[in-house]
Amino acid sequence: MKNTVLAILAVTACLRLYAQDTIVLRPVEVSASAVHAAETSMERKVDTTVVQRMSTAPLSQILIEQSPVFIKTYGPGGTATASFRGTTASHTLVLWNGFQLNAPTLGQVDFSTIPVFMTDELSLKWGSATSTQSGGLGGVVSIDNDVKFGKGLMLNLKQSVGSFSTIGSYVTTGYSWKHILFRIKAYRSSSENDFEYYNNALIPHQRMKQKNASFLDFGFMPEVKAMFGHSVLTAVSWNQWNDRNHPQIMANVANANTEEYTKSDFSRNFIAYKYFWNDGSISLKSGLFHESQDYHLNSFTISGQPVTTIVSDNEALMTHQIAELTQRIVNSWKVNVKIQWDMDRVTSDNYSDIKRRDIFSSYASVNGDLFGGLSFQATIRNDIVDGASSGFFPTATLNYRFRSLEGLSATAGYSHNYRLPSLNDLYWYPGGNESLKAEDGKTLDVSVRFEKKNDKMTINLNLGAYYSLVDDWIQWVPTVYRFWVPENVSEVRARGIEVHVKGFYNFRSVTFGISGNYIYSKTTNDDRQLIYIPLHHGNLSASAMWKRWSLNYTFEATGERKTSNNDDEFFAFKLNPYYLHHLNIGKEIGKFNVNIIIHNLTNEDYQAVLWRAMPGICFEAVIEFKL
Amino acid sequence: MKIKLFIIAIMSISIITSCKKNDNDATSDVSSIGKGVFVLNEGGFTVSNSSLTFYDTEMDTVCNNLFYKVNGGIIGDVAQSLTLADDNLFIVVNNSNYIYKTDANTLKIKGNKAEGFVSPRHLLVVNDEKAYVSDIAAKGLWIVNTETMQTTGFIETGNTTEKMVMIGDEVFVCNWSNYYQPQTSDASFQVIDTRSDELVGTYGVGEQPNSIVVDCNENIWILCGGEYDYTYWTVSGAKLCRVNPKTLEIKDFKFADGGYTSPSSLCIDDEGEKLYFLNGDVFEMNINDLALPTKAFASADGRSFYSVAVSPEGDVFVTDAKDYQSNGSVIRYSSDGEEKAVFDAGVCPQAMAFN
Repeated sequence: MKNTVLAILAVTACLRLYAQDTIVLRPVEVSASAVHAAETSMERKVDTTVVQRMSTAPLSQILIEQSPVFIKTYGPGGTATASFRGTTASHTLVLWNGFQLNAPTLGQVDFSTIPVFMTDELSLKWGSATSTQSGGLGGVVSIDNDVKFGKGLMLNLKQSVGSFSTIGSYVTTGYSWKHILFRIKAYRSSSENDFEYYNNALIPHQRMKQKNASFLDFGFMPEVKAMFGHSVLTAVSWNQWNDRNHPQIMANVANANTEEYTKSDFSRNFIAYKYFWNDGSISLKSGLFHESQDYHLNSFTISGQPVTTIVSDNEALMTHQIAELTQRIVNSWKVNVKIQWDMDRVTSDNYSDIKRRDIFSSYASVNGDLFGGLSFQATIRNDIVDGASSGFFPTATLNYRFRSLEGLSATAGYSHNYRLPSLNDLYWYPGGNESLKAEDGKTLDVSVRFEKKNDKMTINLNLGAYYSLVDDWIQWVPTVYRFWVPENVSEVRARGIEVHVKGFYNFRSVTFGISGNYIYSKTTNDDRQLIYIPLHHGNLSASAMWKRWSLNYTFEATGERKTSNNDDEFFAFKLNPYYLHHLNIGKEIGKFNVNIIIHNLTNEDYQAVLWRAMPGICFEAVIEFKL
Repeated sequence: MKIKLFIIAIMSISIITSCKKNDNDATSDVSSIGKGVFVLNEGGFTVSNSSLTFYDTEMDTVCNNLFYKVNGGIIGDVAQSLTLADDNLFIVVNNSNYIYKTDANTLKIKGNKAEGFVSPRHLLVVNDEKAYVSDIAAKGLWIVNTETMQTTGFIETGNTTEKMVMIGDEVFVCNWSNYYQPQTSDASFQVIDTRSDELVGTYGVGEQPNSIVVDCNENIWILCGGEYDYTYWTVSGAKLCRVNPKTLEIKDFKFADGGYTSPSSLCIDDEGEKLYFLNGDVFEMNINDLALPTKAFASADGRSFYSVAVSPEGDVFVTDAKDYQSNGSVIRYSSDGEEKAVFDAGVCPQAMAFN
């Protein structure tokens, strides 16, 4: 978003020159960051080249391969949730152009339903960088639209074909003039998903095909943007449909007479107006989101007579209103003030009646350089939830650039945030607990960063550590009533280390690249590691580009995870570590680009979630035409 | 063949060395499955961590995860019930929708597993080659050939089916739940003629009859859990019913409405005189008593009592499911209510069968 602002400023400057005399300058894009180190030290962008290369994948896959985020996935076409730094999926806030995507019902986002194709920019934020909204106790995944003016005709066609009858078609087209642009993206992706796997839940263990796991996703996203004077007006509409069948767990494949599926759709729309001047801007945004989800569980007798029909329908309407002011005050010091009103209204078969929640938020931040390479950012936020104040939540970040060694900097931050119970936590029937308190999280971060650039190479190293304390952690627990009830059960401590490395090296006509993450994450309640949070996970991606050829290799490693609170060695209480390798070979031929992708190169047999089948080696071919 | 023998030998050694003396410190070997109780640990829904525990009542030793250790695989998802008949131990696995037949002396699986149910709950052996299987989602009882473990028929009863007992040529089955079949009864029991495999009668009883036993007078006792009020989380309409199967005369013993627990897990001692059931705590009642007991036989004291069973010697075994996610335990009481032993089990220990 900051880059967008800078690009707009640059374009505006050019236009001014154009208007004043006869010198014609081409609009330029400015991508270098001019913001303060303290403001950006706790966020990271995923390379746009990677975003483009993986555009046929769901967002969960790019996060698995390229980020420190841990993804808990139920397999292709199955739910995939993201967690930062040992927290849960509910603690990961997902923003689309600044609007929250977390469902008000569950409080989570299914990353398998977000195609990378629909995004232009992907970034991650943690620590004090998450303070603009509540909920991101672990971190924020931010996806944004970023389309440039003056690009002329846009046309990009992509077709993918893969194992298990997986087919994807992706179209981007539009026209970008100097002051106005129109773009539309549309896609359709489907798969029979009938991969073969080794079922060790059956006796005897045997190879078999996955059943009832097919999916069909499609959607479109029109977008218009216009610039007039010092103003930019944007309107985007993201519409999508997801039909997902849910396969049985490996132990239950004898249930051939059961079908389970979810049909969901959403329409997310916003209009944004931004007015900018030399050292500041004001923006107004209004969003209207509608989501619906229909879950079905049907079972039949052997002769096909229906036995069980369970239908659960949910419908949510969300509105978001945001007003934001940014102004430089003196020297490098800048203030940012934001007010926001979010309204969630949910109708559900599992609630007694329609539920509504209103949150009015006020946020302010100040940042700038102090002295001698030291910069500082402080933020504070207050939310009023259904008329009651949630309190004040401050953050502070200090960044120091060492003068003795160029490119070396250190950051320390403190953040205080909270997460409201989801509407399911409060109102699910039976079990919802309206007396739940919000979770309260405090985090300390420290990190050291080293960056070096020259003609031949770029290197970026980041070593960070964190310590978080979450009070009133919400957990569904069993009761004497034989149904589960959410309670503020405990205090959870999460602490860990993150290492990130990224670099490029030019050797003759070959460009080598490397990018990797390692995360040690110890998250405990009563000194027990929480289930499904690995102590160790990481990834490594290496690439080489030569003329029009490209080669990318990715390695992902996930450590052992507990699946229960038991400490004994019964193997159903833990999941073994797994290591996956992926390869992508690409070639540009004129306006065409061909990619061959091999997933799970070593045909690893593994489970990411207990008794959920995962595919072995599989292939994908992608052909792209780009103007 | 030699390789098979070798594998069996290795597995046997593994079982022998993996059973522990029930004192949390010392370990002791047991040479075979002796006299004791099998405890089936239900596990979590879709977690498939069901397991089988054996507690040797004479040696005071416990062996967990026995099925897995013998057969090299898991039981399945939500192991529901055990039936011990002759040398066979039948394990009904509800959410995986199959039934294993194992050798009760070795626990090795015998032949194929029975499949094709909708949501199987309990198995009752009718004769040498026939068993009935109840189903919480199908309107009737399945007939299974216990030799081949093939499903050979289905008895339409119009209601879903739960626990069963047999008197002479008749099987009495509870209609416990209509959750999956809303148009059916959840307040009746039915009678099946085992010679013709036909329904011969349906009779009203209390709400949600969940367990059934026969006493020494051949009267049937049916425990009805009552209805939950999900607004106030209270139970009403719970009662214990004594049914004369010949005259169908019913005597009700009503529980007070508004309680926070639902009575369940009715069982009877080998003499057919003492009834035991759960209602938060464990209660004991003589079949000749004129009212429900007011004093607990064993108090839960914050524990999550989940199931109760009586051994042939009269000891009362009560499972504690704890938080329903961690490993549970089983408490062994003497017939006087004195705690004799506690041993570890798996997740949600539930069904028990005495060897």
